[in-house]
Amino acid sequence: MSTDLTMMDLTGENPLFKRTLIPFRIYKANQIIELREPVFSASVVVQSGNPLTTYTNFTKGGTIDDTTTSKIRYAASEAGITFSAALINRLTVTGYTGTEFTIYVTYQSLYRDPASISGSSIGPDYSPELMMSVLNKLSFLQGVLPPIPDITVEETTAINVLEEDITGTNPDNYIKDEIHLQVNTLVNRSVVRPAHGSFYKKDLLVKLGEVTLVENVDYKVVGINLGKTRVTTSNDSVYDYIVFTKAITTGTAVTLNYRAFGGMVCPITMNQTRALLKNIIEYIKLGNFVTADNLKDQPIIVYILDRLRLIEDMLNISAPVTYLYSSKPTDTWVDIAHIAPDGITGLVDTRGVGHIRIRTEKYFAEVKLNYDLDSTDRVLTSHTISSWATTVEQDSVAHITNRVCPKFRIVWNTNSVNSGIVLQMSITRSAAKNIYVEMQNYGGAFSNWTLLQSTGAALTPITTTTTLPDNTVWDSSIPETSAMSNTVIVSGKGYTVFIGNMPVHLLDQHTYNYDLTGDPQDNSNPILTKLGGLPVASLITGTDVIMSEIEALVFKVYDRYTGTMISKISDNLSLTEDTVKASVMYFDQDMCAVEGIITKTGAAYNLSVGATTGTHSSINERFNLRQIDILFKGAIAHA
Amino acid sequence: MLKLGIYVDGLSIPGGTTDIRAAIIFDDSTYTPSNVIIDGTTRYNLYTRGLYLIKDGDGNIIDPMYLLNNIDKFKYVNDGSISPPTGSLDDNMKLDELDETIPLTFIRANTVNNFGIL
Repeated sequence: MSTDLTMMDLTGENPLFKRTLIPFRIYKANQIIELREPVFSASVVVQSGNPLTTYTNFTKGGTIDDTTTSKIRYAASEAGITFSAALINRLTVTGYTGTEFTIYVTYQSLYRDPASISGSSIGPDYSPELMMSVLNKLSFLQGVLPPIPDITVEETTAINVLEEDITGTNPDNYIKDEIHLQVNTLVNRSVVRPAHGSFYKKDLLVKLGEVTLVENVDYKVVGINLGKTRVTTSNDSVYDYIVFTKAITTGTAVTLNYRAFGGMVCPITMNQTRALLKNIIEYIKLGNFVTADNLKDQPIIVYILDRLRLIEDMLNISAPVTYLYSSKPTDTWVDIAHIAPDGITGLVDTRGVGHIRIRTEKYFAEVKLNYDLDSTDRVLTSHTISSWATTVEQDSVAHITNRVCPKFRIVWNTNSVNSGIVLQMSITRSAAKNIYVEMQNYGGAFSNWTLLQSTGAALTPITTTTTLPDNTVWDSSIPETSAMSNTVIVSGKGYTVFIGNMPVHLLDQHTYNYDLTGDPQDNSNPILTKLGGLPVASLITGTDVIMSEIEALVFKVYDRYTGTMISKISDNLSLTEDTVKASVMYFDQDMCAVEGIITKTGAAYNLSVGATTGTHSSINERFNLRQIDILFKGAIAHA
Repeated sequence: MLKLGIYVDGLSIPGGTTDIRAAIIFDDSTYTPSNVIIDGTTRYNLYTRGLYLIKDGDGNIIDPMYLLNNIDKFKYVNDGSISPPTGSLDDNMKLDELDETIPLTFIRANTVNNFGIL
C-alpha cells in the first residue's frame, strides 16, 4: 500500500475512508470475518435484520503487520502527531444459532479505497493501486466465469477442467461425495445441478443426509442433453439436472456421486475473456502508470493468458479472427486458413473435416467444409448447418446490392502434399466495399485447420501464387503440380436470380408452339415445339453462380385467387456444362408448371423463364411468377 | 444499378396510356433489356425506369416491390413515365372470383362418359 499521506487517514474520521454496510453472510458458529485491511477498532459498527438494528455478538481482533505499523509511524512523524488508536482487521461473529443470517459492517479504514473518487478530481485517481484493484476484480471475474469450477478448494479462482469423456468410463470423471448444502428452489421444485456439469445417468447416486434416495420416487433426472447423449459411446443418457419430488429439509446436505461428461468450456466464455482482456489493455493504454510493453509481464495477465492457452490447447476451439477484406463484383481470392504438416510425423492428412462460422455484414453461416484430396469428383464439399442472410422479402430489392456470397476452395501441390494445404475464400459484392469478415474455427478437437492471423490490413489478393505452410510456393501457372479444388458456395437461404411479376399465361406462348394447322390424323410431326422461354434479366453478382454447384431452383408463384405465395423447389434439374434447366409443377389440378433456364456465356448469365398453364388457370389469369432463387449444393433445405 | 423494366402489350398508343402486363428488376450493368419478339413481330415492348422514380399521387416515392405486387394499378404513360397508382396497394392483384365454367385440366381429362371404352 502506498505511503502517500493522502491515501492514509490517521484520524479515523475522514469520510473518504469510510466503508459503509459491507454485507457478510453468517453460516456457522464463531465465524471469522476477514476485513483484509487495517480498521479503526472504535469505528466498527455491526448491524443486522430488517430494518437494521445494532448487532453485538462479535469480538474484534487481528494483528496489524509491521509494515503497516511502520507506515503509520512514518506518517505520524510527518504530521507531527502521536498515533494511539487501536486497529483491527478481523471480526469473530459468535451469534450463530443454526440459522443463516447477514450482518452489515460499517467502519473507518486506515487506507483509502484506491478506486474511490477524490473531491478534487472528476474520475478515479490513476495509480498503481487502482490498476491492482481493477486487475484483482478482473481476476475474480475470471475465476468465477469458468463453467466448471473446482468446488473442492476454497478459492473460486481455481478451475478443474475434466477431460471430455464420451465413453462414460473415465475414472477421473467420477465425482464422489459432492455436497450441496443449498438446493435451488424453482417454482416449488427443488433442483440440483452438479458442479461438474452434465452427468451420466447410470452412475448417479443421490443421498439426502445418510439416506440413499430412489430414482422416480424421491427424485428424477431431467434435462436430457441430446447433443452429448448422441455422441456418447456408452449405452446411457447424459442429463443436466436433478429434480427432487420430495421436500428437502432446509440445511440437510444432498450428496451426489456421479460420472461427469466433462470437457465443457463454451467458446463464448473464452471470447468474453478475450474481450475483457482486450478492453483492459485498451483501458490501461489510456493511463500512464503501466506501459503496454511491461503489461504482458504482469502476473495477472500472464495468468489469464496461460489459462486461455490451456483451454485452447485442450479443446482446440479458437477465438474468432476478424479480417478486413476488399470485396468487389469480381472474385478476389485470399488465403484464410491452412493445414500444416504434423509436427511429429511431418505428414498432412489427405482428407479431413472443418467447421467454421463466418459472419459479415448482414450474413452469418455455420458450415462444415470437408476435403478429400483423393476424390475424383468434388475435393471440397460443404454442408451448411445454419445460415442467416437477408432476403428479398426482408430487405426488398436492396438485398441484391447488399448480399454477400462467400466461396471457398483449397490449393495444394500434388507432388508434395505434405507441404500443406491452403484454404482460400472469395466474397463478391455488387458494389465494391471494404468489409470485415469474422471467422471462427469451430471444429474442436476434430479440426486440423488453423485460421491465419489477421494483420489488420486488408487481405492480400492471391492471383497466381501463394505460399504453402512449409514455405514452398503454389503456382497456378504450373497446373501439372499445383492443384486447385472445386469451389463451393455458401449462400444464405437461396440466391435470388429473378424478381418480377410475370403472369405465367404470358410465358406459355414463349415455351411451346402448338401446331394447330396440321392434319390431326397425321402423327408423324409433333403437335407442339419447345421454345426457349422468355429471356429476362438475371440478378447475379459477378461470377457468383457456378453452374455445377447448383442443386435446385426455387420458384415463387403468386396465386391471385387465394392470395398466397407458392414456393416450390424444382423436382428435376438437368445440368450440362453451361446450362441448367429446372422445372416444377406448382398446381397439379390444372397441370401448371414453371421452368427456368440459366446459361453461362463467358462472364455473363442468361436467364429464360417458361411456363405451361392449364386452360382454367390461363383464362382466369390466376398465377404470376414472382421470384426465382438458386439453392447451391450443401445448402440447407429452403421451401 | 438496379432498374425497373416493364412490359407493355404491343405498340403503345401515342399520347395515351398502356396497361402494364409484366415487370422485372434488372441490373443495367449486366443486362441490356430488349423488346420481346416472336416470329419477327414485337410481342411486348419493354420500357425501363429508374427504380425509385415511381411516385404516388402525392409525389411520395413508392417502394419498387409495391409496384411489382400491384402492376395492374399502374399504367405506362407514353411519355416514358408511369402513372400514379389507383386504388389500394395492398391487395397484390387479388382475384375476387374464378370463372368456374372452365374445367381444370385434370377434371377435363376425366370427363369420359363411358369408362368401358378405355
